[in-house]
Amino acid sequence: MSTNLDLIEKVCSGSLESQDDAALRVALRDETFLSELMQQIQLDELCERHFNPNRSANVFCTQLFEKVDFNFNDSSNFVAEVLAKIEASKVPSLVQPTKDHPRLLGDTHSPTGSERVQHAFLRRQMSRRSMAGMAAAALAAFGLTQWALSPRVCARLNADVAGCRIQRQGDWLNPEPFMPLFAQDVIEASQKIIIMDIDGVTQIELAESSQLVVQKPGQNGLGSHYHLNQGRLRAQIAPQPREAPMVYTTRHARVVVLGTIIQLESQKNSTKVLVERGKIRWDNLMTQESTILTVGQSQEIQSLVVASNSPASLPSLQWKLWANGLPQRGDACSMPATPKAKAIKALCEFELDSKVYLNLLHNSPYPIHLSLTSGNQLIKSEWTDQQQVVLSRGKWTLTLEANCPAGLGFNPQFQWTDIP
Amino acid sequence: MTPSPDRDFYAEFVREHHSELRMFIRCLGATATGADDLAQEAFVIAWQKWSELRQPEDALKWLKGISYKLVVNERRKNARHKRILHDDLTEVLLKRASEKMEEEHNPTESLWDQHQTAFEHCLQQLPLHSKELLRWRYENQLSSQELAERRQVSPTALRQMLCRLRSKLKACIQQGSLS
Repeated sequence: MSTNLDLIEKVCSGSLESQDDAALRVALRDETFLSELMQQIQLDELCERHFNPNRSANVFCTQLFEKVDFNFNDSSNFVAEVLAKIEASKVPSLVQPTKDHPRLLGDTHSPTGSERVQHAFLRRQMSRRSMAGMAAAALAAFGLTQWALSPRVCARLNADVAGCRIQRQGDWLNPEPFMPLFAQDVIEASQKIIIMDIDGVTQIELAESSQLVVQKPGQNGLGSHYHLNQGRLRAQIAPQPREAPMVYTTRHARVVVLGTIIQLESQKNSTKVLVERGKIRWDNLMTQESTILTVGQSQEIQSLVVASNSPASLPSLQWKLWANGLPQRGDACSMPATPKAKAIKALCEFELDSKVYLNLLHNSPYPIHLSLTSGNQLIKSEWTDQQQVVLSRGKWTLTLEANCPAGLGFNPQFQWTDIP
Repeated sequence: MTPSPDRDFYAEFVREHHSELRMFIRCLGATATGADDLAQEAFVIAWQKWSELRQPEDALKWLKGISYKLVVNERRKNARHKRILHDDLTEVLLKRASEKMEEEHNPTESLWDQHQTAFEHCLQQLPLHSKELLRWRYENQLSSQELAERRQVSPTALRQMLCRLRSKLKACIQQGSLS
């Protein structure tokens, strides 16, 4: 009987070992043992419920009704995340306000919200594997199987969508409150709007006259990527896992954040950042230099600016592909992508015997500086994404300059037509 | 066919039956953490397939049937991924539960579940050192090795001590229910 009691407690505490196999197999033939085991398991459950009510109040039941992603790698962050999600009503189903925590919610079984989630974390630490299965099952339960197959929601608009429009797959849409945003959506704000990241905590205030592209959703709802085409934003960013930080890019810089408040401004020729709280990594895409910025620190990147009439600081490159020194229809001056950022200068000289329209096209996510000189006179010098110029008869010098970021090539094209 | 429940209803359903379902799953030989996960999965499946439930009053029995199948499936899994304690143990317990499910309307041996109040009362009757031992075991989650060191006894003796303590509680509860 003593042996059996030992076995029963091992079953109850989950501490059976391989050396118990033989004894267990013998005991299992004994109906008295089985009956005692059943009762002991139930008593064990009652004790568990009494001493540790959190255990049976499985916080993850709350996931039945809405998909909620958590970062399980960091216990302190995890608790904050759960509480934030509870506050954001993302975990609404089984939670009720408690007397001690009127804002931070606890469920009906447990004394306080924080203890409950701490416990849930500890339990999940012990059984990490099953979380994935459960989360997947929870997804299915919400009827979100189709959701999983369709593009993933990266972020949402807030309630106030006035002065905002969304470009999706080439079409401009009139947004609705809380409209979901997907990868490659372009958000254009003519007045300040707020975007909520899918992590449920991160808020991005997009200033007036700004354009933001949602680039990709993060893994498990964290680590989303955004590209600020133009304008300003202020982002309050939830703690992100080190292996999947949230990333904001502009044409000049990349901001890698693990959880902070930043202000980011992107203009054609510059990008500025200010860190209000926390710490970021600031990658200068022009020079490939990285800097860690902390509270109160700011940084600015200026694009290459070519002063008129001043000699270019870069070594020029005669573009061989421009046959006879004259850009022809469809001509390109291309450079393949290289791992390092590079400054590029392409120059050609040509003579026109008639008036033409010259269109410069390029689809690169960085600006190109175009300058046109006729004789010794600088006719045009500006940064451009697309340019149509009228060129009259005579000798011309055309120079293209760009700071080509790492991993991107340089491939502007010309189209030109005669003007009758 | 039962119409799909609304979320509030289902939340209440989960709240009401979660503990009992967890206990049922543990009685099929699931680990303590595995029972949480399996209960969760059973609720999720029930939510998805609610329209297949013929009699709403049989919902708990149906839920237990789902859990039963989940535990059966656990046995087929790779050992590392199993959420059960021991194959042979689960095999016997599944067979036992299957027979009970056929015999009874309520397939769990849930005598104790109905006596929560008596349990609380009986717990208070225990001597201080016994309550302390239970607190260390359940609240502080100490292993039998750690408990044995504190009590300066062998782990085996400690495990027997815990079983006897629970048996005392059982006797007290039964006495209370008889009276």
